[in-house]
Amino acid sequence: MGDPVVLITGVLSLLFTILVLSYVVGDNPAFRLAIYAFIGVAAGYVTAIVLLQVIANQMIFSLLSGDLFKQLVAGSALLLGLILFAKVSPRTEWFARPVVAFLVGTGAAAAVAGAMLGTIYPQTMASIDIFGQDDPLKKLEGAVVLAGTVATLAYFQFTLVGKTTPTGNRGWVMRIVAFVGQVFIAITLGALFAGAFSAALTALIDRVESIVLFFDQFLH
Amino acid sequence: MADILCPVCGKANPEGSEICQYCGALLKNRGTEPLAPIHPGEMPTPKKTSELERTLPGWLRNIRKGDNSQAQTTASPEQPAQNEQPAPPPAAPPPPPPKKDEPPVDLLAGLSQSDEEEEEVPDWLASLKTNLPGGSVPAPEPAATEAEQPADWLAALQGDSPSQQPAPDLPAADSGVGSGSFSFNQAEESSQQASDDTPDWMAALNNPPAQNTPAPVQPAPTEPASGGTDLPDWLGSLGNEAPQQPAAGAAPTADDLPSDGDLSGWFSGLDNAGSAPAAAPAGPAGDLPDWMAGLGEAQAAPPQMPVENTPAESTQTPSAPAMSEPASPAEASDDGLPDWLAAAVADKTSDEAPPVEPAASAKAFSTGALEEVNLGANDAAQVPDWMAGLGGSTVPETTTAQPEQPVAPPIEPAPAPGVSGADNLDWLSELAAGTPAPSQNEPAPAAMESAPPAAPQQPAPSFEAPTPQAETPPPAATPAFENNQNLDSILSMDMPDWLAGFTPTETDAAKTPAGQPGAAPAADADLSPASLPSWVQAMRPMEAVISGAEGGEEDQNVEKEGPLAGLRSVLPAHTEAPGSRKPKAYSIKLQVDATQQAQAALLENLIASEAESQPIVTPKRVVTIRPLRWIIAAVLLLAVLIPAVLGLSFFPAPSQEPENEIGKFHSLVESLPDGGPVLLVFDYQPGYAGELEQAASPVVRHLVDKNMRLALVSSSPTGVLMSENMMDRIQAELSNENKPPYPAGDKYVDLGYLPGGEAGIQVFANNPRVLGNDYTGEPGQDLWNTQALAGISKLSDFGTLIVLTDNPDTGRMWIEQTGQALQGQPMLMIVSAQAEPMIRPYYDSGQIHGMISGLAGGTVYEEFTKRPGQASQYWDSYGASMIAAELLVIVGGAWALVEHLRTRRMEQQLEEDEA
Repeated sequence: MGDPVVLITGVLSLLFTILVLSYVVGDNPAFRLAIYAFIGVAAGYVTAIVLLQVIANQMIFSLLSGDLFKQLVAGSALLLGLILFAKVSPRTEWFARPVVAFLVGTGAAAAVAGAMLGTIYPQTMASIDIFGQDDPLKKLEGAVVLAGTVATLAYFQFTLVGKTTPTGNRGWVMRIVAFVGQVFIAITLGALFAGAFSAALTALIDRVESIVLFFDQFLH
Repeated sequence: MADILCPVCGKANPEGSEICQYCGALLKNRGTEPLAPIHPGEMPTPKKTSELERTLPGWLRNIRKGDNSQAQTTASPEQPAQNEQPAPPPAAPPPPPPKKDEPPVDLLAGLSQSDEEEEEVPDWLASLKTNLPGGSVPAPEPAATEAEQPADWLAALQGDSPSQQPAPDLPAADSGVGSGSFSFNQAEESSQQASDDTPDWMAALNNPPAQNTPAPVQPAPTEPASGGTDLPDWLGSLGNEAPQQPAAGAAPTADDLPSDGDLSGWFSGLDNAGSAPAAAPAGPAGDLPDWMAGLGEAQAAPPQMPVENTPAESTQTPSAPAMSEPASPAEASDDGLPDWLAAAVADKTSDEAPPVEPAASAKAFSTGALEEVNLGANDAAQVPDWMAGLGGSTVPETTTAQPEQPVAPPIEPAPAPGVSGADNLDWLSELAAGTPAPSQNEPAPAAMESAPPAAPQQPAPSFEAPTPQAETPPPAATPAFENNQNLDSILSMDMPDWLAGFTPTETDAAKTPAGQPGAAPAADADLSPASLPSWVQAMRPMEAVISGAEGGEEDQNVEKEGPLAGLRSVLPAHTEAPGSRKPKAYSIKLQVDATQQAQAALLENLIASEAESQPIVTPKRVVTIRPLRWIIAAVLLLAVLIPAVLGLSFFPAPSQEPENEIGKFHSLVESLPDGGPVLLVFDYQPGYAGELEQAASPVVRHLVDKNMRLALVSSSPTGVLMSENMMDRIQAELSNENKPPYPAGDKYVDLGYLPGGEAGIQVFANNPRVLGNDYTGEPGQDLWNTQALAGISKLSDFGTLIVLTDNPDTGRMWIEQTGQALQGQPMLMIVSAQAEPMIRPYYDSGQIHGMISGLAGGTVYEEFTKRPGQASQYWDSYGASMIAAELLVIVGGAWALVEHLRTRRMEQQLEEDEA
């Protein structure tokens, strides 16, 4: 533990870990202090990253460079960015609407196109291809996937038609299918919870291991 | 009250309505139905006047209905006269007998009554009335017969007549030709008595009889002066001839007749054929054409019908007396003459009064043409053949008495005895022999107009020509003949001819009582009222009816112009146009049915519920069991600390399966050429660094061991820190292993932060060079010129793309946006355990070729690389804490179950205690 930087880093790590773990006894100022410290450091770090890597490297250096294309692109981005400052005042808010619309529009277009080509179509085809495999287990897997998908979607079908409209209750067929879908949803949420618990438990282990490591290094 | 249904809209209207109150359509056909016209040559068909009802407009019929009660009482004596018709031809079927009990259908039924009800009579009319025999003459009958006579025959007759004279003036010629058997004395006397009260023109009307009273043969010297100026010449001459007619009538001898040598041959032949004694009109007969002479001869035969010539005829026109001479019923015989002709003959024979009036009548129509006729009468040698034949007839005066009948004079002249038959036409010969006269030669229609008083004298009205009434002695010439002189003065004035002949007749007819002896018998049925069309005939009498009913109606309008001038209520009183009627009244009340009301009530309740304030429900405070939380925390900490502190290894590493996602991941990395470019995306948060670093460290170390050129990029600002931390960790490991560092720029390049989210990723996928500056280096340094990125211009130039993320959405974005740009290059994922369930489908679909999730995946990958790292070190703690967690879940479930059962039992116990 000769390196003071490593020592200070170890001490701060131990301190903030204990502050966070103090939440076991409930919400306390130590926990809040640790949280505020993390948020402040993260925000500062993000600001520094944006100023350095986006404003400086991507815009200013591009404007200062001799490449006309980069200058035009950087100048346009700078102009649109400055227009966004009009959102500060309600009187000039309307002036920034086109820029916001441009941002939202391009983002939505990219998301929709990506979802269509990267998720919906490939996932649909993959679900269909399962039944084309020779392995019976795969076909069974495909049937389960199909049943789970249909049952899950049926669970979120809240439209009532026919005689069941006045009562607000589903028919017996839909109730069964929805129950199956509810089971699939429960399994999925359980898996997600297990994954979240696993991730949190790994972080806990990491922090505990770091404390143990710190003390081990400090003691040794 | 029965409603009347509208034929258009079908709605009910109150009875008596003529116009629909809703749509304005006519409820009844207000128009009259014109009778079929009678063409020349057609025999008149006897009809009931009741059949003419349909020719009347609706308002007239309504009036008739309203007067039924009165008409029944007053029309009874008139009803027979209504049915008096000229003797129909043998082929004509007899009409049905009238019903006595039913209300009078004759439109003239109420005429007499209306006359009786008249309170005020004009002076001139009163004078005329006093001049009439008996003071009044029953009027309605003429209309009954008039209706049957079409107007066409008159035109045809005019065409056939040689003179082509205008209609109104011809009666003078008639009288001139006429008979000498008229008795105008009575009329003369009465007219003199009334002369004081009459206006000037009326006085002039009364005076002439005094002048004309001289000998019938006297040629009426005053007539040319009075009437000759206003009348056409021929009519005037005809009027001059009139005084000679009485002479002819009074002394129907051959001396008075022109000689045969003066008459044309045909006329003489006609005269021979005829047996009528009427030789008096021989004078005018000399001017008559042959056909007329033959006609007159034929008419000399005894009439079949009773004489209907009445004083009314004479009152209508100044020349009426000339035709009012009824033929004696004894002379009537079935000689084949038509009814109307027989009636005309009867008129002549019945009027035995001295022909005083003809002068007056001739005076009234003293025209040039009549003068010629008159001259011809004076000088038989100048009389044309046809006129001579006319003079031989005793009947013609009945027809010439009609002022409206221009053709009457030439028709009626009796054949002169001296007329030789050499010039006779064939048809005239037949006519003289007693064949039925064709309708063209009928003078009767005009005569029938002026024969109203015949009704009461015929109790059994029938269309059969020979009736007992025909044998009744005809009334003597009425004083109305005196009016002929007055009418002369009338015509001498500027009054139109038609008015001169029309007005007195009506008034006299209205005032003449039905039962008066002076009234002509019902022979007017033989006088066909052909001068007016049927619809006009049907309309005319209604004036009297209307005048009787007008007192009760306020909305009667008198037409002031046009052909209906002077008539009342001819047109409907509804002056407003159908389009301007009162618009329909629509109810403004909203029509709402039950369903709409229910929906409205539901909406109202919804709105009302929105207005109601909802009580704020305080959330139920979650009671935390602090000891339990502490126990769980302690258990987990112990589970982590014990393996970590003690260094125990209870749990073996997960099995290595090369076919699973981790094995494939390792295989792909192993398959990458050494020193090849690899793009690493650090997109996880610092909070998940403990997990992802344990999972990513073996991979990065593996890459470093393979001396791969690394390009680091992050779409999250904090990802830059994670990548830097990762590289520092790798550098530390290398340092601990005494291996050369992995220098930045040559072995790896940190491209930094990639802004823009999905759009930024898409742009980067299409052109990785958008990120060019390394903030760690000198400003403006082009990283793409470094050794690490040598030869990289697009995304597919990288050997593989490895995404390190704890967020499934971030992993999905990279998959979606870079899938096409990679162009088949493998994509690998190192994800957190919480993101694995969401990313695994992409692995199953083949969109990503390998995946490492969480600490378990890192541990397995370390097993693949045969290089144990922190992941393996954490594995026991991880295993122990997972078991502890599972135990806690089980114990917690059991605790919840026990607690539930206990609570349930307590509730049951409480219920039992309460029970």
